[in-house]
Amino acid sequence: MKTFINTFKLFFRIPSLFISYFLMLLVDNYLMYKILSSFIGAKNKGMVTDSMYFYGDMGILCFVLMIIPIFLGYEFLRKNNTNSFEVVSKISKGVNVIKANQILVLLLLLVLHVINIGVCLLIGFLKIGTENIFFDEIIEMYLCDFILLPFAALSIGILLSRIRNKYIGYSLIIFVCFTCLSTTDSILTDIYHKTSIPVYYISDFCNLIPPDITATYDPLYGFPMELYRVLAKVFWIVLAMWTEMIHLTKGRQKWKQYVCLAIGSIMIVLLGFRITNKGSVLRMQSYAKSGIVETNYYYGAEKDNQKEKRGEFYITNYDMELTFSDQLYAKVLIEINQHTTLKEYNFTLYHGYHVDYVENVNGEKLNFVRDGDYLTVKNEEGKQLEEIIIGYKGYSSVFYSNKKACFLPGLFPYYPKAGFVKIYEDGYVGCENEKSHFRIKTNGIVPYSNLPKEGNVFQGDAKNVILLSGFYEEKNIGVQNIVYYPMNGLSKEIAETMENTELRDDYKKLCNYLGVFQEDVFERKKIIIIPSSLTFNSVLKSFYVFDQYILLGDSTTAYDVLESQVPYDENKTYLRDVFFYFQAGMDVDFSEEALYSEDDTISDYEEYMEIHDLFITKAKKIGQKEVARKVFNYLADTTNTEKEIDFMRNLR
Amino acid sequence: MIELAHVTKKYGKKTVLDDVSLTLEKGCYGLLGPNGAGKTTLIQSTLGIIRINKGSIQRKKDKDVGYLPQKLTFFEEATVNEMLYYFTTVKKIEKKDREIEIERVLKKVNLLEKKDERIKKLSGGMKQRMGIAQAILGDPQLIMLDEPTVGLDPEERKRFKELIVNMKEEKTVLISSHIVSDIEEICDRVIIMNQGKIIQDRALEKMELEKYYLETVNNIN
Ligand SMILES: Nc1ncnc2c1ncn2[C@@H]1O[C@H](COP(=O)(O)OP(=O)(O)OP(=O)(O)O)[C@@H](O)[C@H]1O
Ligand SMILES: [Mg+2]
Repeated sequence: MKTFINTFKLFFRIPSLFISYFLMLLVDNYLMYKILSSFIGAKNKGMVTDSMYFYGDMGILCFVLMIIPIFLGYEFLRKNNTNSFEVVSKISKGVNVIKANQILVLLLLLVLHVINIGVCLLIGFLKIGTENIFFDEIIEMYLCDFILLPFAALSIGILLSRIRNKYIGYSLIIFVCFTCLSTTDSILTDIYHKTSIPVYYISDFCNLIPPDITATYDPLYGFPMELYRVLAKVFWIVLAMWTEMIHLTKGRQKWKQYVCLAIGSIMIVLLGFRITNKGSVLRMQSYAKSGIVETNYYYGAEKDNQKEKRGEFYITNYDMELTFSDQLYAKVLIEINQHTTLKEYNFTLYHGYHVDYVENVNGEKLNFVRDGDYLTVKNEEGKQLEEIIIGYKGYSSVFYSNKKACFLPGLFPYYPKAGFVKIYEDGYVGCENEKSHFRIKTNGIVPYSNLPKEGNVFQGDAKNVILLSGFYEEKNIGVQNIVYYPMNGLSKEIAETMENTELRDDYKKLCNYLGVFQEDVFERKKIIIIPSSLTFNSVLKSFYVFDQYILLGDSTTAYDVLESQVPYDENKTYLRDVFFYFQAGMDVDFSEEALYSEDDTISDYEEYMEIHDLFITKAKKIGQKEVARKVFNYLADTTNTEKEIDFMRNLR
Repeated sequence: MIELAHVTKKYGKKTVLDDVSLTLEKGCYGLLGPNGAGKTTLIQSTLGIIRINKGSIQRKKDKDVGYLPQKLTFFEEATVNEMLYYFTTVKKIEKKDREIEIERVLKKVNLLEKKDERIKKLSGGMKQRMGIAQAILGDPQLIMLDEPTVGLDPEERKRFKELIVNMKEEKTVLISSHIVSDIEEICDRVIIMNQGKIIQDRALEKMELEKYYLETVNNIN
């Protein structure tokens, strides 16, 4: 006890140590106060809206909880290596009591801090109440980020303290702290794409603090609290304990050393394996495997890995069992309707899913070929084949699916679709399939779907099926259902604009202006507001219409709705862009629009600019309503193959 | 009793201890040699702090040891008393005896009044004395002091010699130095090292060690 008290005194005699400790107390208490008062404020105003943003402060709090314990551990223990005491304790075959006591002191100080934060939370909950939707999240966060984090950081500090050269030590501390910033992700991703060495794994181990959710925030998903970050923390704790154990058992019996070495190594390898194989996690930013980077890279401009071949057979019936855990595990039984037996059955299934087996109803394995997003099941002998069972697992970085939440819209082939289908053009394509009967059983979570639900089984006819789970709420407006995210103010506002039919009225007005008859796309459909994170990832467009539901981005206008009605044609993209840039020529004053041809600073007069200028001049000459109607008809008419530049030149 | 047989220690290609054989019994040994001769390496090998490449060292393991390293570093922010208290715990001195033992050794090195001083406020010589105090803590049977007289003033040097003379009867004491006069007055035997080899291991009778040492080392070089 006396040595402990002496060591405790020692800590508070070293200015760099006690100053940083008190700084940590100060900063964290201030941030906790700020976070909790914003939650309490939000509660008193009767809304939880946008409280998620205050998690941003928690990011800073966690950063402090990481950097300071690393420093404390490193700085306090570093002096041990060169200390004469180390040598003397070695000779006396005793434990280095100073070191042991130093670690105990640091642990005690961190425990005090953790209790301090816990008390803040307790006060917060007494005021906010425990029934609020954040309760579970905050408790999880407390366990993962506030309790585990400082101890993991301390472990890193203890490990680094073995490095004798203090400049190398400090550089490594800076490196570790730097790797948890998103900038590092983009550097590592660049290196990965240039060298294809998966260096991004480095940041998995150092990413102890939650991602910067002000940038990557997903109101449907909630706060990212993923196992790999918990395990990364456990990893450092185990590694530090392991190295200390090895040093302690040095000179003891050999078998003790070996047992220690073996157990530690196995744990470290297992943890390392699980950390680098994360499964489905919400990870955006510039991380190599994030939605935005991976999708752009996979469907990038120079790559041509998409096929189109449909209509050889139809799927009449799907019977799926989907298990949501670290990723999606699926067993899908497909019933095929056909008149002639085929030698090959083509399917589309996202390339992130690994097909484990394909078999017929008798359990006989069928050969198959997997090629990117496509799956071809072989039936060389030409046997009668009406049912195929496909087992697969995996994840997409955009359309996540795990124990916590899932967002699997039907436009995304998370279940096998008949034929080769192009799934990505300038964003995910809103393709629909023939109507099939679905029976979907889910394990792990019970998501929301366009199909009627009974327990954890969804059953009904549909062209495609969406499954989504997380922090969503449903609202009924007459016969219509709206799914929105209570954590997001914008999604609430959109739900309101749908309620007061603002968007629908705008759209009707636009259709009248263009003189086209458009059925009411909103009629009797479920409206699902797309989380801003997904539109942020830019792989989804802001508006999709399917037979039973609509996906609506958070800044959708009547023009977006109109655009969704115009089929994509890669030969008409310039005019399409110009048309929607001028908002279908409706409320634009063309006399104020400048022409590219009159701009002296432009040297290359390109096709896009000419189309842009033609649109303006023709609108002035013929009348903007007239031009708008003709251009819209041209864009919507898939049989008209005239070149867009020629069309504009000939327009009169 | 300690026996070193054919001990060889290399750092890379450099042989620092070259086939050294040595027997230490009760009494005081002086280890003489110029800089880089391998004195520190010999002491560290004997105590098992560093590993040797060849040869064997036999030492009764359970025998408690006092060791004064050549380079002394302590926790500068701790007080003399606190630092020595840490040493008493690692030397497994019984709790009730710890305070008394600390007082005893501090008295011996004339540092009792600095007991509650922070180590960073001590002078170089005081720190050295604290190092010696730490080595004799727990009254060990084997004491190895690596250049103990560095930084001591004549008064303290005298006190140190008295300290050793008083306890060398029942113990094995080894003092390394390159200052002949330190060893001359207190040691019974002298071991002269040069370039990793023991070139002399003999009883120290009434002889002119200074002259003898210089001659031997110079002859070889
Ligand atoms: N860790 C090491 N790595 C490489 N060489 C070393 C190391 N330690 C000592 N040496 C070398 O071993 C030789 C003997 O060193 P040692 O410290 O034993 O000499 P010494 O007799 O104690 O000298 P001094 O009187 O200066 O203390 C020296 O030449 C030194 O350069
Ligand atoms: Mg030396």
